[in-house]
Amino acid sequence: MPLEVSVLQAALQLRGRGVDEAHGFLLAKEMRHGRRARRLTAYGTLYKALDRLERAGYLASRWEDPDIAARDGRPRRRFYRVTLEGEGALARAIADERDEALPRSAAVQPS
Amino acid sequence: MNGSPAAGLVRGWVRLYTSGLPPKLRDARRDEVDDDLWCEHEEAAEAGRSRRALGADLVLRLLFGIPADVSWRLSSGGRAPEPNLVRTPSMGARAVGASAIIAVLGFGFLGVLTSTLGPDMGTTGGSSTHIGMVVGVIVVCCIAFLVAALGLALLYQDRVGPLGGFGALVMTLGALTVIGAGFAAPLFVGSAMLMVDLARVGVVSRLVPIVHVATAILFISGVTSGQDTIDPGGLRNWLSAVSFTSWMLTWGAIGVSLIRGVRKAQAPSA
Repeated sequence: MPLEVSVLQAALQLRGRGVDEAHGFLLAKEMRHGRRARRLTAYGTLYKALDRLERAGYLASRWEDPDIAARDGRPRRRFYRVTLEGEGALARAIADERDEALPRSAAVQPS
Repeated sequence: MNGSPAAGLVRGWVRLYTSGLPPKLRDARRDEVDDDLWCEHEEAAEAGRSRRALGADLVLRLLFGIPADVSWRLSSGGRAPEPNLVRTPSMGARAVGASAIIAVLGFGFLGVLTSTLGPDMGTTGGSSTHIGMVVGVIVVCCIAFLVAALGLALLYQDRVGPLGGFGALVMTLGALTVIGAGFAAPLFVGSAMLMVDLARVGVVSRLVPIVHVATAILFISGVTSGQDTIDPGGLRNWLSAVSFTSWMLTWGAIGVSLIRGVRKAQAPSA
């Protein structure tokens, strides 16, 4: 599923830059430059995907300490991190995508 | 911008589609979107984006996500799940349930007696044995209803409001007026009040107060029009018979349910 893949990829890209846990807006921002960004980062699409990924065990989440949010004068924040299962699922999804793409690209290659 | 019309629109939509969900799920989604709006506002302020551009972005993020919001809402359940209810057996509940059943069986027995011996057997045409039996059954039934009404209000005293409490008292008074004066209107009116309140707090089905209110209205309209006797050919009397039978059956069902135990919320497991 491209949306879930995009979310996991965004989370892992952030992790690569030292952000182990990311909240919804940060993930949306990371995904903004990708394909179909407008649709993928819509509130409903994004948070539904996060919910589904967490229920599947590919993401884990935690709510931050409410004192921190209160001190910063903003709403409380939910942080997501990719689990080992999520990493494995993303690797499989990318491999599957590559396998599907290969025959198509082979079909247009001159023999 | 965080308090802009566009942000308000997003919040309003989130409130709308999360209303009726379990509080934890509802608040989680509302807080997440609220934080998202806050972050977007902060970023726009830092980048010097215009309010109009930001507003357009928020509205587009809202609009593109509506199908997903609706689908998420549908998959999250149309209503908040009931608390984990367990039946708690208690002597009090069983006694109240038994009283309701005794009252219903007594009235049923009276109905059989009336149809066997004729409607006047308790007054003019019956022997003293029959009259004594009818009066005795009526007294037992009324006392049983009295106990059932008061007991039901006491069992759910933490949830029953003034309407239910007053209804139980009116029903008690009705049971006494039946014994003393043969006047049953307060019994039906009090029962209707009690059931409306019990349905409000989810103790009985919403169908129960409809039956009880209809019975009370039919009974009072029959009394006020002077047609409180059974006329098998009349439509209203036919309706009254159906309504009264349903009234009795609901009391019977409540009695059986109470004997099985009072439904109480189970403490969540750790």
